[in-house]
Amino acid sequence: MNFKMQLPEGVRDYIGQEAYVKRQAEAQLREQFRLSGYEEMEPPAFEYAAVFESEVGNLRQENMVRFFDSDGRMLTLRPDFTLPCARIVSARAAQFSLPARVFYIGNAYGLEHNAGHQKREYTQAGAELMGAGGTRSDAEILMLAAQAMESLGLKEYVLDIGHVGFFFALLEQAGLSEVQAEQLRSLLDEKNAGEAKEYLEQLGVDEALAQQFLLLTDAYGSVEKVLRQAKEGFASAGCRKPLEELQAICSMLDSCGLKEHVSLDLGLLMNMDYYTGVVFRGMAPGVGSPLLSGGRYDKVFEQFERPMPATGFAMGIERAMAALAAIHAWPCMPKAQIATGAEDGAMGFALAFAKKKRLEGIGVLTSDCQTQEELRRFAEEHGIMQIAFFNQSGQSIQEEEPWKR
Amino acid sequence: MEKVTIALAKGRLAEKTIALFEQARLDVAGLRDESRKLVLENDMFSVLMVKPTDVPVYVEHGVADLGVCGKDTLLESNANLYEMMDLKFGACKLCLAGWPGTDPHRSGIKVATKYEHFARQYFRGRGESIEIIHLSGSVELGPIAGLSDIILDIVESGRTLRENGLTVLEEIVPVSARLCVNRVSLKVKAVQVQMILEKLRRAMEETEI
Repeated sequence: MNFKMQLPEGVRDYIGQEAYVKRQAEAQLREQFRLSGYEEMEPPAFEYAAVFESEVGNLRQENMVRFFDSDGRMLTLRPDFTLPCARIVSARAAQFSLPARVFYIGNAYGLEHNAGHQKREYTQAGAELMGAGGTRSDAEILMLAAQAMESLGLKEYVLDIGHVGFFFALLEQAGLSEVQAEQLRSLLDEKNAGEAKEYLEQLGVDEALAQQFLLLTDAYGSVEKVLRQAKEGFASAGCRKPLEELQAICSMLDSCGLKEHVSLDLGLLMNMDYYTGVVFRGMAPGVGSPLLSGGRYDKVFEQFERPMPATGFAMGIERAMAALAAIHAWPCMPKAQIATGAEDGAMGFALAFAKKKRLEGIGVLTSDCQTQEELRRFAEEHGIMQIAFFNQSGQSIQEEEPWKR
Repeated sequence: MEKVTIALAKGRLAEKTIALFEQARLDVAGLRDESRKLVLENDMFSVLMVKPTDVPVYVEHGVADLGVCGKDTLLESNANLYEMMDLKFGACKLCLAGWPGTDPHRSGIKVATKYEHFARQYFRGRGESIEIIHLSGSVELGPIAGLSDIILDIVESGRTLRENGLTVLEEIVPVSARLCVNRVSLKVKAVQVQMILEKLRRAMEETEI
């Protein structure tokens, strides 16, 4: 096996057209975040392992890419940007007046043990609103997520919103062990009402409480339907606050014209160690997994010694590209407008011409061609519509497609 | 309205699924094709005829919006999808089996199975370390040929085991056909998928009565 000519598992090259599409998407998102008053943050690709030590969210220790520093300390290739952003905002308290609005676009790393189609190197673009609690900031972040998807050109998308508060409120009453709670969460998250019901019976959970847990598997769909189900179905006092928050947020989103895109799902029970309130996912037709996910994570900053509420989301660029491909909306890599050629001794003139044009914003490809005919063929092959051929006295013959014969 | 794509396991599960769909008054015209066609279509559905173990793969990737496969397949694949209905047919059990009198929890035991991941999870969960020998089929041959001590496999009537002198040593978990749904499809094709789920639920209730 010649390892010089191969790539390891889970990584890929981006070449030409694909690289162009990726960069365009990143540029559009960067622009949108900036226009929304968010400032960019670029943490380093690797940090001390301690930053990612608390097993929050998707980040399992065994899935992180780690190595040792020369002084024996363990370093981790970042699997996530939120924790580094939290580190920065906490460490530089003087620099950041709260709430801090930050965004990032870059690569993150993880070792995926499933046979799934995930990569070991993936690009994320995300935004964090740090230091603000309350439904207004939830609505701001949700709106930004919708804005991000629309700015890429996705007209049909779903912003699916939930709230972990309902499940937590019910858990408090149920008195389950951590293992039992996790097993229940997993069944409810899968919308496996049948097995969840059996499990609740097995655990001896009170009938009325069990019904409320099972409601989580059915409380999804339109805003009206789910809010009604929540109002009528959750007797627990602890469910009142999440319901009020959702109602407030939905009414804000409704007035910004997102109604056709928003759906609710109270059974969105992902990453329960991390999220503390509103959670959401962005999805588009043609892609089997969500494009973006986010939510409120008010406890994360405690580990960085500057407790504060926070909310945010991250979008997977590869998935965004797949969503665009599904609607045939990949931008086309622009070709150069002019191709130059030069007879013997005239290359310098061609290069000078090219430089002047390029600095004016016109694309020029300097070819090796030494005759006009060769240059015409070259331009045809490369889909370039204009040529400029230079002779030894520095004069150029410029032609446009179709060439004069 | 956009078609809904369903991944079905060729054979008995597919037949029973189409029958249930018909009972649910869903359009099954043209979906009972005896030919070698891999994709069957009508106005409402696009049916992909796949190998049973591949159903979760098509659904997880979103290429199929829905899929029907056995609980054993789902347990082994660990795919990230919604498992929304127990369709009840295809009932059997995942069991440990072997020569009568074998202790299935003896230390260092060799287990032949198609369900490598499930077996590992099951024994690890009990704190037991065992040797797993992955076989693709006719797993009963394992202990018969001396390749393994026991097997972890699905057992329906138990006839194959009995005819080969083997017996069920332990029942692990019941298995039946499940309807799984892609996580994005449930939300993005909400209207179509909800309608199908509703009709299936009603048909299932009617059968129970």
